Amino acid sequence: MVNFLSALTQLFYFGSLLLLLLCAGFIFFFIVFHKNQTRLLLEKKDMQFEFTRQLLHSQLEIQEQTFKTVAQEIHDNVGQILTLAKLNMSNLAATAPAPLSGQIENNKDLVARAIQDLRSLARGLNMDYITETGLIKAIEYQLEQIKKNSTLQIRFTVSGNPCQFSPQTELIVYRMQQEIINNVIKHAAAQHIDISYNYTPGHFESIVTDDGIGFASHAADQPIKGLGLGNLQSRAQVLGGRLTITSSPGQGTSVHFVLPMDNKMI
Amino acid sequence: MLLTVLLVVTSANETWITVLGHHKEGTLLYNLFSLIEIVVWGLIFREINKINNNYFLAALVVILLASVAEIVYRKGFHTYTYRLFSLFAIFNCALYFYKLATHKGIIYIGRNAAFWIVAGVVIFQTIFLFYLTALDFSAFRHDKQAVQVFHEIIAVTNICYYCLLLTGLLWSIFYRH
Repeated sequence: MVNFLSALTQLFYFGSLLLLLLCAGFIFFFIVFHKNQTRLLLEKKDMQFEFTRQLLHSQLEIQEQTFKTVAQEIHDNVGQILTLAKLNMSNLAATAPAPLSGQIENNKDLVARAIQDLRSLARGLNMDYITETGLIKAIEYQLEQIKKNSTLQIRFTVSGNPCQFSPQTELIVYRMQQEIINNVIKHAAAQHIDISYNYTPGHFESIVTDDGIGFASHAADQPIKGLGLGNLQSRAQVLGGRLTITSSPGQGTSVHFVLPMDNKMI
Repeated sequence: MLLTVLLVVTSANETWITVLGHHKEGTLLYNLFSLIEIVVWGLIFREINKINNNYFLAALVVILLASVAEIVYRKGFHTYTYRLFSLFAIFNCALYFYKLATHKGIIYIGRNAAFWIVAGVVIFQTIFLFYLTALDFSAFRHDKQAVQVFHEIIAVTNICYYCLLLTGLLWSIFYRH
């Protein structure tokens, strides 16, 4: 009986110990398994992000290439034809009778303006021009063109020490600014637009504010859609920057873009 | 909040059984605390597993009613229905682990209070279920040495259980946001 009880004690003792070890072992292995699973998920997420980044990068390259081709076409083909037409009109005006020569001069002026506008357009599209002149000069030029053709009051301020980003970053930031300004012109019905660039040792910050009609702003965690805003957000992500849009109906819109300065390469 | 209630209930429960454990009224109070514990655990599992169906509620009600019946008609601690509750708890823990293993998103379990709570419950309830089942055997019940060994193991299990519950409680405070 004593032996039997002793065996029973041992049985329950080892049985319970085994159970305890099994439970602890299960929890330990579950933690290890889950940790591996989380690591794999994070790697997958990183890969997806990298893939999206590369895809967007390629899209931007294709877009820039298209813009370049269009700009060259405007400059070399359409521009040349218009210049020739202008020259012909000058010759015609010299030999034509008085009432007709006046009309020809008017048409010549119109063609000259078209040539000028096309040059501006080509310049805006040409990435070489943007990367050579730099972001601020390119934006200033763009704003001058807008001022000539609209009643919009524009204020552009730069603070801090402007520095040159890598050509691709410069180009993407420029395209983003173009998109933001075009949105204001097309959709905001604004009277004033304030653009400010702030260069600090760690960041580049741009704030574009208008006094237009505004729109119902999205919650911070919701993806932005429409008005090319999603596109802006993607570009900001490609650069490793952060874009925040604040707006409410009738209260205008403010687009705040922050780019870390160490992230000069794409 | 629920975890705090549970810790208060269980610590009060343990205190009562230690002080008055061998008295009739002690067992009665222990049983009553145990019923509250079952309800609180039911609510915790409902919260952890995001269960909102009638089967879960029905199972909890059945366990509670059966426990009350056992307390009323049988003297001593409600061992049979507590075993039922242990199985219910282990099942819920298994469900939690299954959901966690098949979850598509990223969850950092180290920071997850629910994980530590469930880990504590698994360890405690498995050993306690084994202990309660062993008590059914008279050979074991009358073997003082075996019971003593088991009490020691239960003590170790209790330490693990409360440590894990406290970890869960602290984690839920630190990583609330």
